[in-house]
Amino acid sequence: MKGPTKSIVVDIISRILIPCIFTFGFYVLFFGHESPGGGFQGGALIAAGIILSRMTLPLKESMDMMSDKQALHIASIGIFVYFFVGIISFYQTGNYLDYSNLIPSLGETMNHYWGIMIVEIGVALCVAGTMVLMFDVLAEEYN
Amino acid sequence: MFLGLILIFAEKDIPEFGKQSVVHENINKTYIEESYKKTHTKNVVTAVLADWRSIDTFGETMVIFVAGMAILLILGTKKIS
Repeated sequence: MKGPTKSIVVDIISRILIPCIFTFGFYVLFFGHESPGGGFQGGALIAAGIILSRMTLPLKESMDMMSDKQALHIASIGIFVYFFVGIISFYQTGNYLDYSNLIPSLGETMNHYWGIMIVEIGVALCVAGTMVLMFDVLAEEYN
Repeated sequence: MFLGLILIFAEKDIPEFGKQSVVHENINKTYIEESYKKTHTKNVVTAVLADWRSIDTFGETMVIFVAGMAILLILGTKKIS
């Protein structure tokens, strides 16, 4: 079950470290409202965890986390989420990416809050997918 | 060249270096005061980046996505695409 590094220390340490990196990435993503962070940083941390798993774990386990085709799909879904929020708000208020009336039952302030949250999730998905995709394309010949 | 002519023509209206102009006078105060009231977000940077300047952020995301697609088109094999 050892990965391409042939070292048990690297294997065990990366198995411990990767879930922590994912947790910290989601923390940075979802607490971008209260602390430094946001979509780009959270997406980069999630992609860093997956790239670490590509380099140290066996290829099949790493591909089960996020395969290269899934990375392409995730990047496309992320940018589509952003674009679609813009289209919905354009339909409702007449301004592109104006979140004031996204869900009419909430107030205007909470609509802005959730609009920022959805947009950040879209950015994070796009960044994570694109970084993993870049790594896979560049490292493909070594597999 | 035509663009350069337009830019030379527009260069007259740039405010003098180091001088306060109308564009950057009151906007930062507005951001600091209104961001929690309007968006319920304590982090002003997030509020400015994803609410007032969200089209700019959309452009940044698009740049990253297009860079990934270009790398996939140039270097990718049939396995991924």
